[in-house]
Amino acid sequence: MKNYSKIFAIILCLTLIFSVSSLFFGVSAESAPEGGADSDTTVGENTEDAPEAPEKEEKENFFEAFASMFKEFHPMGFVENLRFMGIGMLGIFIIIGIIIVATVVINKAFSGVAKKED
Amino acid sequence: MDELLKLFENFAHLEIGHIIMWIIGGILIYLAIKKDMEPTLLLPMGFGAILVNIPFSGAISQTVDGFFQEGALSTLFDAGIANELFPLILFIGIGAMIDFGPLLTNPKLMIFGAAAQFGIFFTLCLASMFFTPEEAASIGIIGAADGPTAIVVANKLLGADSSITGAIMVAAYSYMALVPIIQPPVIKLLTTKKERMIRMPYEGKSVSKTTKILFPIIITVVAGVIVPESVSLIGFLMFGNLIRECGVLDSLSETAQKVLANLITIFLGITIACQMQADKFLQPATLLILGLGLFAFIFDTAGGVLFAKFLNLFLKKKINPMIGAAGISAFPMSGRVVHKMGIKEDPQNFLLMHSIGVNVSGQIASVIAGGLILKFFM
Repeated sequence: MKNYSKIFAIILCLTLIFSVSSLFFGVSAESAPEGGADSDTTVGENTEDAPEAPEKEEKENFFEAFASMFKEFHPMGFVENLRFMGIGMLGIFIIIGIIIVATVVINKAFSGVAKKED
Repeated sequence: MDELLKLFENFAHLEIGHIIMWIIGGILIYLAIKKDMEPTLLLPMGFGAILVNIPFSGAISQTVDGFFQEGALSTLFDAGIANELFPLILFIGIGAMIDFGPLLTNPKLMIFGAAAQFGIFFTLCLASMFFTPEEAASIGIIGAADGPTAIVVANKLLGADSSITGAIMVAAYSYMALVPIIQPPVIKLLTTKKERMIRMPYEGKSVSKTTKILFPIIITVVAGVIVPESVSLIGFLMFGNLIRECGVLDSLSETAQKVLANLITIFLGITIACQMQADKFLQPATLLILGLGLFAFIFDTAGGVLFAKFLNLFLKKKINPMIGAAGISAFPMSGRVVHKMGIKEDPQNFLLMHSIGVNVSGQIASVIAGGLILKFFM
């Protein structure tokens, strides 16, 4: 099987670079859909606060509903949320790093006790 | 005659959506029994899907002819899933089952657990092109490969009544069962045969009982102070582990590992099916969520493997990059998958202790990732 690791590695590296840089330069989230489960752009949900629409057919069929998902397609959402990837991965590595250091310290502190127990 | 016909009037309320959900339930049951894929979860979910998709099913709460009827599954859902109680109690059982010994002998392996959470955040970014940020975050957490974490995060961010919560729960549990199918092709795509044959001898160092007792406490405090939103998740997991390791609560440990875990798994599995009603589940968004969930798993695996390969650039004593893939939280399946792949390439290469150590660290890292997601979006 061909080794696609270089392609995956390039995708991952580019994503990480953009995510870390977005921490510093930031991307405006003004154009992002508003958060919350009752946002207008929520897929597949009717919101209580939605403005009254003109009378339509009672139910969209599955394919119309599928197509309407792509009308709500918001490609900049990927870029706007890259900062969460940056902070998230950094955060996990920092916390895990602290736990590793703490574990090494307690291992060393109690290694004598381990030998006695053996 | 009219009364006889009344017996069959419910057939008139059968819709195509109900039948499709029966088929989906049947497929889950088939996978559980015939293919032995996570039967503890898929069988209750599959049967529950059939129960809730019978017209005017008495298993769920609904209004019939102006009268409100309470259903057992809805009551259980409100009692245990809507308030995240069942997944948290299950975490006590899971914590009691985990042996951190292999990880404590080589704590550096925890770094692969961190790397393998990449898929969560990558999927969050992908999903945000179609969904709101909270929904995208709840979909991304499927990549945690941890049912309880996915349920807790989705409930907190979206609420139990959201139309996509059911799809998220089903995706999380179903993909956990499909780990032996999803991971090997991804690992093979990203590694060469030579890399897969890298041997990692295991040096079994002893770990003191004091270390095993302090470890869950330290993790809870460190993770809890930095990410307080993760305290319930990490706390319950580590409490279960503390019961196991303290050495004075053997009966509680055994109860947590067996009776408690099995009891909650039964309730959890059949109650999740409350979200699998046809009108909620059969939405285009469900297909998209299932696709994004698959992406999350793939990029989790890729993240762990590629991080190991990156480290190998600087290490003299090379790491077998496959163990990076074990950093997802599907314990112990992922660890066993990596070990089997290692044996297949080289029958003398025993990666089990390393892969299980990484797998266990993935459990910790996935819970921390869940806490971070809650911190960002709540």
